[in-house]
Amino acid sequence: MSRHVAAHRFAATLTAREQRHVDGCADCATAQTRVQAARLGLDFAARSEPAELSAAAEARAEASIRWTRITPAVPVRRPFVVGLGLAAACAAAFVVWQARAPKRAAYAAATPSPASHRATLNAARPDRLEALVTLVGGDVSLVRGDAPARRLGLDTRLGAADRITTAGSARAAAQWSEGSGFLLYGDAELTLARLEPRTQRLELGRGQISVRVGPHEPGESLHVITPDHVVSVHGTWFTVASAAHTTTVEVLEGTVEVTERDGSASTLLTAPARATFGPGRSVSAPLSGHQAAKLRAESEMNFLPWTAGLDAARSTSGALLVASQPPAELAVDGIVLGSTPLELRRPFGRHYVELTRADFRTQHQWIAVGKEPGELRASLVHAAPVADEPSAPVEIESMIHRRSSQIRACYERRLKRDPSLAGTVSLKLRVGDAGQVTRVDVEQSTLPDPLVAECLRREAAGWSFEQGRNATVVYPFVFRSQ
Amino acid sequence: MSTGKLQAVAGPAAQPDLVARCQRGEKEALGELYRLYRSEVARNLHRMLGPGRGDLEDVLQEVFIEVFRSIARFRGDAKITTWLYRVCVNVALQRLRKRKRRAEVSGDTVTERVTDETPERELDNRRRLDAVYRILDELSPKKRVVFILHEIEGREPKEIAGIVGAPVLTVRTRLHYARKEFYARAASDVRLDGVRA
Repeated sequence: MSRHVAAHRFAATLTAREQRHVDGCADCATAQTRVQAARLGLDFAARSEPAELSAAAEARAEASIRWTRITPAVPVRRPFVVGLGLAAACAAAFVVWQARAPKRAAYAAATPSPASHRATLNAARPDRLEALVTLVGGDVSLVRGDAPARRLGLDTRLGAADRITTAGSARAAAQWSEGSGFLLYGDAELTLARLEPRTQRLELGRGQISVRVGPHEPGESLHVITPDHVVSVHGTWFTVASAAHTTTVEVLEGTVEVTERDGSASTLLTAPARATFGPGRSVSAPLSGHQAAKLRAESEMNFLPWTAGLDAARSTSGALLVASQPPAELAVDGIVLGSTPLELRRPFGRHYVELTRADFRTQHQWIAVGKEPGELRASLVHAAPVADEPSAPVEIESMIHRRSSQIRACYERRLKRDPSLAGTVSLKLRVGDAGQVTRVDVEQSTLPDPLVAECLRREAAGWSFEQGRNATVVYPFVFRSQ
Repeated sequence: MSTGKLQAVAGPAAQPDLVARCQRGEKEALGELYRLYRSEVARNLHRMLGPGRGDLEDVLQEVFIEVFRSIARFRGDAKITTWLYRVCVNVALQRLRKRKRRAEVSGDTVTERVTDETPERELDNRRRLDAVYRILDELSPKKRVVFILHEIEGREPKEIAGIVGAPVLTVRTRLHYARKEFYARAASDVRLDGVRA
């Protein structure tokens, strides 16, 4: 086809002769249609708008401003003026040097050399970082130098070369700057190989770690090193798991670069994505909205306000100790932090603590944290059994059939916004003793748009069944566009 | 709807001393500069790099870090918007070269704002847009930038020469070969089949 008419000619208006040729040549006609489609694509590109900038972009800009050093421009001078100035300066220096010749030795002794001046400047800025432990659950041990292993506590300050080991279901989190730190999961081993203001290097011997990086200085680098791979941070929130020569990386925010230890290959992973790197091969896939949300909830690190540094964060926070029988999921101030028992550090003040476990009554309580640790030891009580047995099966199918147009509308409204929208929403309906729906929960949703599930929940809340009493029904709604 | 060019923004931008304050290192002025131009810079980066790559905010930050670092050297020979655009193009070029060197795994495929088009029309537009940027990915970064500045943003070769820092004749040559290559690739690209015009 390009043999007959150069393809780029289609971009311009064809002459009558060329058009006659195209009309009689199927290949040329196909090529012309494609070029026209490409031109429409270019028109659309001119009109397309990027997504709204996230709040993280604002925070990153603020960090860039905070760390940018602007050297005022030296005003441009005429060469003649510069030459004259230089000559005058040389003459003056010579005169002064002649006059002070006898005192030079004494002067040299009294004036710090440039090297020592640099040393003084470096001393003003710490060359190493310390990390504050923000959360400890279960059996976590710390090995420092040749000293025997000891239990990691909230008061421990972590530094370079410290090695942390977690037992089966344990976890520990630490923070070294505003929004930056890690959460080490159970059965893992981590060495803080380097902890410096501009370079942080975490060596993961085994297990899984979640790392979050706050606003960072240009040139600052953070690496997580597994036995086979190096994960370098360009972005902000990710997890790394290492096992049997494979490294799994899940990126929740920003971008990370994964490189083979021998430097043979590297891959950029942009959030939200998950990739597994094995010997000579890698498998990657985007994370769904639901998976990313679950991962975020599981990797909360209990960060503290850090604007004034470690000492200030430490002196304005205290310990909160929570234990329960049986173990339950702990949420503090609405953030789920893991299973009890947990010790964590929170800013001084009152905190809302919630303990949840299936089939047990949720326990919630305000706990004050001050110089003295706040403590909650709870015994959870079994939830009351259902009073009555259901009299007959709930006629859910017929209800779905009757309300199908309303249910479809919930999906189709959002489908206009996202034509690729597809997935399943499972609703859990509690039917009361008069057949009315008394409670609706979204059990699970794989749809990236939460408004569909919310619309369904509101729709189902108004249902009333003629058959079926005192029952709980879970119904999955599957949505797929034609 | 935007024309695609960095506009001289009314209001705070008109403050003649904003650049001078930035050059003196006033942090508030840098913040003001960022807030004033972030949307325009993001829009231009979006066109230059293509949709759905997930790295727009990273590149945006790189652009502003470069702007903050080098604003002291801005002499005022050109408009601040032109200078900003030059920085934007340079950072985008670096990013495109990096992409060429590395395998890149993208997250979400499409992340642009929703328009008022019907879902079918919107889907066609996205498919076309995706195909166009996949073809652009095969051009060299220099040809790509010149092509986008001319074909998508509608800039004249003289203006493009000022932005990319090359002679007008070089820009015309690059543009000629970029157009030839782009349309030749489009003519044989099956991804453009079946998309309604």
